[in-house]
Amino acid sequence: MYPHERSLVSQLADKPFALLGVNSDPELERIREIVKEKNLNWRSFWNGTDGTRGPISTQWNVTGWPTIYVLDQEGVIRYKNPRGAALDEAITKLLAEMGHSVQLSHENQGGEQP
Amino acid sequence: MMATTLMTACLKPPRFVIEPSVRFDVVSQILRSKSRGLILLVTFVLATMTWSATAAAQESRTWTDASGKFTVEAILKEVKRDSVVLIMTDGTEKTVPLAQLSADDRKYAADYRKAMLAENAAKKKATADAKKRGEDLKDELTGILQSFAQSEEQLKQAEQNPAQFRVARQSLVQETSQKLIELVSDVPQSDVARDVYLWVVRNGATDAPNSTATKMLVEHFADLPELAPMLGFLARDLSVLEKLVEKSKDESVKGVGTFLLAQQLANQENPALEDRVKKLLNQVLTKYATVIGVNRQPLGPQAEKLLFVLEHLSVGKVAPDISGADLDGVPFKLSDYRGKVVVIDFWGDW
Repeated sequence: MYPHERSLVSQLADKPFALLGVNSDPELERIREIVKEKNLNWRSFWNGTDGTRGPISTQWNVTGWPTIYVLDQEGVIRYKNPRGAALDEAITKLLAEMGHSVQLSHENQGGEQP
Repeated sequence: MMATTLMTACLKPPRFVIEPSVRFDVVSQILRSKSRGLILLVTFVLATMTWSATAAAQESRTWTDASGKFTVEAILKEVKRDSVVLIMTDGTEKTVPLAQLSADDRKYAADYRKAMLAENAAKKKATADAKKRGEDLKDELTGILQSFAQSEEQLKQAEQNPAQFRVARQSLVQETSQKLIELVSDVPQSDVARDVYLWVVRNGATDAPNSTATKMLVEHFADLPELAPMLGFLARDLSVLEKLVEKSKDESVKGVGTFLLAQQLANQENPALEDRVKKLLNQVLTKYATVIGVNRQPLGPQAEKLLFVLEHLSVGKVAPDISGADLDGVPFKLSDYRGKVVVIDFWGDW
């Protein structure tokens, strides 16, 4: 997951696009270390000390990790749990609706080990 | 109708004598009204058959009085000890003492009564036999289950590997289920059959035994509260759930069934089904909120959650805002990112 996500964030840095995480690790210090260590380049909400039972994942009825939602510019949910190529396709389509044409390619992107 | 009035008079003949001309009028009256009478007749026979077994498939025939002078078309409805109940062509019923009928008619009535009594006795006996057989089967059921328990114990001893034990036990369950279902095949509505079907489903039999047991439970035991916690695996088909919800008089079966129906329909993520799912969930909230679901939790909060998902977390809905802090403790909101395509990723490093 990490390389794909890193690659999306860096390739779409100048586009109206954001990848927002909701992190469900109960130990904040540990996850901050991991973010640094693995060069994770997106912003995350923290789900709190209850981890997977934290307030955000509970409100969103998340029962499996990872869970992915793709929202358009109006905040409308357009896709649920697209993975890999399907995620790229979803993002490309929504950006095209806004008049941004993008070509995503993940070869040698991110540069780091997973 | 005039014919009826005269008919009653005909069969009450003591001092009463009707001139041949009058009698002719009666017959022609009946003949003239035949077509209308026939419709009435058919309607009446159908209506009667539904509640009275003794009215079964009787045909209209000509009845003659003891003197042999007077006749009338009528259907035999019932034979009592001293009289017959006839259905006239206009649909009305008349009770006529046997003594006033011709010898042929009395024989006809007597045969009919005999046949009916025999049929009723046979029915009673069949019901009693079925019940008795069901009870007799109890010992056999106990025997089969004891032998299952023994074989299961032996398997436990023999198989070191839990996976192998599960496979071996499964084929034992399957074999036992087949035996049990065969055992109760003649008495599918008996208590023993009920216990068999519950055993088969609870022990995870598959294929034919499972589908027979499921079918029979839905068919004959829909009111059994024991079905409610089993619905998750008993009723994987929408059609089975729908049937159970409609049929069962048990609140927990209806409640759990309604909720599972909503859940299955919601999983299809088809916007066309949204109204139906909402209706089902609102039924759960108003009628079955305290019923315990298959996950041993009350249905109310689960229905509320599913409604929330449906209204706020489905494709096409505006996502709920998230207000929190990032990993550096800086507060921010999801809605800060309006105007951008946003991927929300629930993640963890584990």
